[in-house]
Amino acid sequence: MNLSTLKERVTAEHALLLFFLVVSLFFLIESRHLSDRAAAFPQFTAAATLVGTLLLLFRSYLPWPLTVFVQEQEGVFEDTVDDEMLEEIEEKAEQEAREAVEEEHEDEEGDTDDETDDQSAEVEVRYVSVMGYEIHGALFTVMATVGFIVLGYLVGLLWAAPVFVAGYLYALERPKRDIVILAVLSFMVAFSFLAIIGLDIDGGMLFDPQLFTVLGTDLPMGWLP
Amino acid sequence: MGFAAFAEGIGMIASGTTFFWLIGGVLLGIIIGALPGLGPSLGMAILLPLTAPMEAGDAIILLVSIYSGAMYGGAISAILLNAPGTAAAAATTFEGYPMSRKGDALHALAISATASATAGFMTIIVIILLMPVLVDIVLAFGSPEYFLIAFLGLAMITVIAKGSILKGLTAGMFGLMITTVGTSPMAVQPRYAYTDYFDFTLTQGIDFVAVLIGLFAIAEMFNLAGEKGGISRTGTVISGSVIPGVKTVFKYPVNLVKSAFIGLGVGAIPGAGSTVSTFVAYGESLRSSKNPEEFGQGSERGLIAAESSNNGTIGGSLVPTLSFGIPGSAATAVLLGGLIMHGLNPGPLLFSDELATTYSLYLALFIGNILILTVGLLFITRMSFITRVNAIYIIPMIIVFAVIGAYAIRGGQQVWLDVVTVLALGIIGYYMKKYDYSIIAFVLGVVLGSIAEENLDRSLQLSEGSWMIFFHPIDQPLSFGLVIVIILLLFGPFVKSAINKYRGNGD
Amino acid sequence: MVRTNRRTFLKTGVVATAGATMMAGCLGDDDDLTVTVPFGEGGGTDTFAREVIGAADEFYDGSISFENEPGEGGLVGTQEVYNSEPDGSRVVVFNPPSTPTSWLVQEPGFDISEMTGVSIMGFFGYMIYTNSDYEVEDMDDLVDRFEDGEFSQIAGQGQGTMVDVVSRVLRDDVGLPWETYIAYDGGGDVTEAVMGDEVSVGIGTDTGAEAGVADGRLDPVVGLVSDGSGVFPDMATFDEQGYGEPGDPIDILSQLQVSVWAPPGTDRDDIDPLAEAIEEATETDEVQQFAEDSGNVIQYGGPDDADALLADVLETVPQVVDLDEIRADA
Repeated sequence: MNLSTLKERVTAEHALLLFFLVVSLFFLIESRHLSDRAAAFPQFTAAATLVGTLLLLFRSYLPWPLTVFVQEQEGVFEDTVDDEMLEEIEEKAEQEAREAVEEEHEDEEGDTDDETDDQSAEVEVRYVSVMGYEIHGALFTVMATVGFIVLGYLVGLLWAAPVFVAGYLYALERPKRDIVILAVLSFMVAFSFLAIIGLDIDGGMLFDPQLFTVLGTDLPMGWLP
Repeated sequence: MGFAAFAEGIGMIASGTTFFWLIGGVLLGIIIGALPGLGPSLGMAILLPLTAPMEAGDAIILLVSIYSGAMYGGAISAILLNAPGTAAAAATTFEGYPMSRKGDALHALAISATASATAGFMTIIVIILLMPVLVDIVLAFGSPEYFLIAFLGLAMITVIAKGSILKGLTAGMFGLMITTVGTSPMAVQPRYAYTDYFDFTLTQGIDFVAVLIGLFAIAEMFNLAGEKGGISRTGTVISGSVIPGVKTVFKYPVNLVKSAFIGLGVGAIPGAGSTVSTFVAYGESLRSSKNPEEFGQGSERGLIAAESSNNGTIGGSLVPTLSFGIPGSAATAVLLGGLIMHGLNPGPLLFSDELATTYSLYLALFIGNILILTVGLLFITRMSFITRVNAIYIIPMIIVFAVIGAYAIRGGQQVWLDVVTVLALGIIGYYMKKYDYSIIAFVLGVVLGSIAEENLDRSLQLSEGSWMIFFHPIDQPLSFGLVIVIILLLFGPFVKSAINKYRGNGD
Repeated sequence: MVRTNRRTFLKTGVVATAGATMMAGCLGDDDDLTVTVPFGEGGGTDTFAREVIGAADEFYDGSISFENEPGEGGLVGTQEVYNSEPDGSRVVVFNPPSTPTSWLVQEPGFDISEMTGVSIMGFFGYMIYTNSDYEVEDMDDLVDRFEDGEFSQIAGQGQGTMVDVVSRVLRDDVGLPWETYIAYDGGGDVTEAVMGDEVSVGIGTDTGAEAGVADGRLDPVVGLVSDGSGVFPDMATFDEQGYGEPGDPIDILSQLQVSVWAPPGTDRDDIDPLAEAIEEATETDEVQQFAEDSGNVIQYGGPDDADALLADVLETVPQVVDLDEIRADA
């Protein structure tokens, strides 16, 4: 097999399956320390996950009878209707409802039916440019979220929230006014968690000013660094 | 005895302050329920200590109103942001969020409020009438039945999951597997918890609310970040009327009534009930639909089923809680704590001497539903504007909400575990959705894992290892019946289509 | 009517209320106290602690707030308080012998015997109840039926918990020959299982069985605490039925003493004000009324009583129960 075609064939789906594979193997192996009763369920579920994952990973190479299970099937239940009379009434109603909806959204007809999951066809992919690199919007958001959580762990989520929001919007080149408004808003959201339910988010590993101990929130969560 | 107590119940509600607490409770509940990470149990827990100086009747009506408001409120964020606050609201995201993406958020919110309140009215009336009988029905369910109900929920994977059945089953099994982290329900043994390294952090397992927030809300934010525009993908300005939504609900009377009572019936079963009920109703709605392909794409029927069963569950879940002090969910457990704190011990007394209090409680739910309908149609529907805001602004705000919400879920040693769960499941959920792995199946696995395991183990212990405890038609008629339902559900469609083909009238 | 008092500072789990928190802050001083309940909201211990310590707030200088930190039979919350500063600002409520027994079984990395006793507030006890269809009369009758093979199973809360230990002592020490212990999640689930006749015999608290007995679906058979039961004053106890003496292991193990504990090394001066406030609280009408309504027994004990109780329990339990067997069964 040519190396470049292999590269094309390996997608994020394989990474997902590999993740399932590794985790289920881990659960299976580690269950050997457990007593029989405690181990039965994890072993069963891990084994089932493992088998399913392996079938999916090697589905293109499966012998014929097994391919039935991995086929994408839809409409298996098409002719399974029981209460036919009642259904007919509802069917009629459905028809009417659909018509009513269609009337409402005349100008977006065809969009409402069955293509909604097929996003790539109609939706533009967003790229974010960070220091000269073009990054896929989803990847950028994942990285920003990781940064937010790490910062929150170090100095407290209360302070990390506005930094995260401002940084995120700045990277996406939003107007300054919007950045300021939303950063303040996010701080207020975080602060309300602190003030209303006494969440201990005003300090972290590096920095714990205990500014709001006056609010009686010193370690109400009981979480000790 | 009934009528006098009923009249007294009305009197209790109508007295000045009680009515005020009822309204305040429902409104507060809606807000709490709509915030990701906060749900009815946390909402009631916040308020529980504050009720200490209140009169018992007022306090309990306040708590019940919060419960009911929060169960409805969960639908709002489920529809608008794909962020369910409770397992029950997860079914709402399946149809509600796709509707938002199509630009029909207002329509979805109107359906949700109407279906929710209507189901509430119907189920509460039936409960008030059937109260004494329900207690016996509840007691007829035991460990084997709980296991089978959980299994029924899992069997729904084959009905609900789109795409390949193998992908659905693998996702479901993976969900079941991760519920085994933490202390084994049957033993004092930690599993995959590594207490030497993490102290007790992992012994409580992975929290399913964190899983829900990650799989739905965070995964969706990652997804939105990769595309331009708002949540609603149509530029259409939606008309300001909620009437079509209201009308829609009544166009499917069978679906509405059936789902409401599935919610009531399944919700009344302690243990699995209140978690599975919306999935069962949703699955049944899908199964009996002539257009199952519409499900998952913003089906009105599916949304009605999810929302009406969700509200039906509230009334149902109160039956075992009030009659025997057996809470079926975290929320009813906190409610039970409130009852006891105010000297109202659950038990048959609540259905004889204290019947008026019980009636007033259900009446409060009834009136609460009027409020849900009004607020839901007049104000909540206006929140659909959120779906038209550029997603760039929504994404970081929801991530802030979700992460801090996750931090708040359990507190204690698990705070960062829950935060990491939300992030990790967000990433996994993003890819699962992208490659058509059923997230619903995964959620069902996570939600039902420990219920299934524990009751399976206990059933086999009760029967000394004999599987007949699930099949014996005479000794275990209820189990037997459930097994038949599950078999029909799993194999019925294939058999039926095979028969039709054999007869030559299949399409 | 709504009356505001400082009891409204109660905190539940991770949550406190805005107003309450703010006010606590304004009044805040060095005497502020956080009470950790290492069990879930609304449970027996939680309700008990909130009621009695809540009433003690009136006699205490600082403000008192609550948090719930459930898990591992109370060990999670207890360990947390164990690790906190011994300055009198944090205490934990658990019920010897329950949590100490979980500690003995699970052997976590801290030494519960070092906890400083503050006070004992009262107790609740275990009992045996049966499904009323079987019309079990007393302990003799019950033992006979187990010997005849009519019954073989007994239901109780969680494997490795206090009820599990009590059931083993019943079998090995008292002579109730059950064969299988069926474990349920909570006390409510046990009564439900017995009412629905999934298992015919159950062990649980008297308060938990109250509803089922009132309904006629459960029969109280024997009280396992020689002091008797606040809920069923007429129920004959094990010693009255000729199955032992007061002070037997079963007596000590079946009586859950709701008590307050401070971190190791807490100074007596930091403990006494709270102990005194609790003592005054137990005498108030409010707490007495609570005891009457709920069937819990209020009985005050000071710091020394608490210390003695813990030492006693930690010594007795390993003698009467085979801890290795419990771990192996798990």
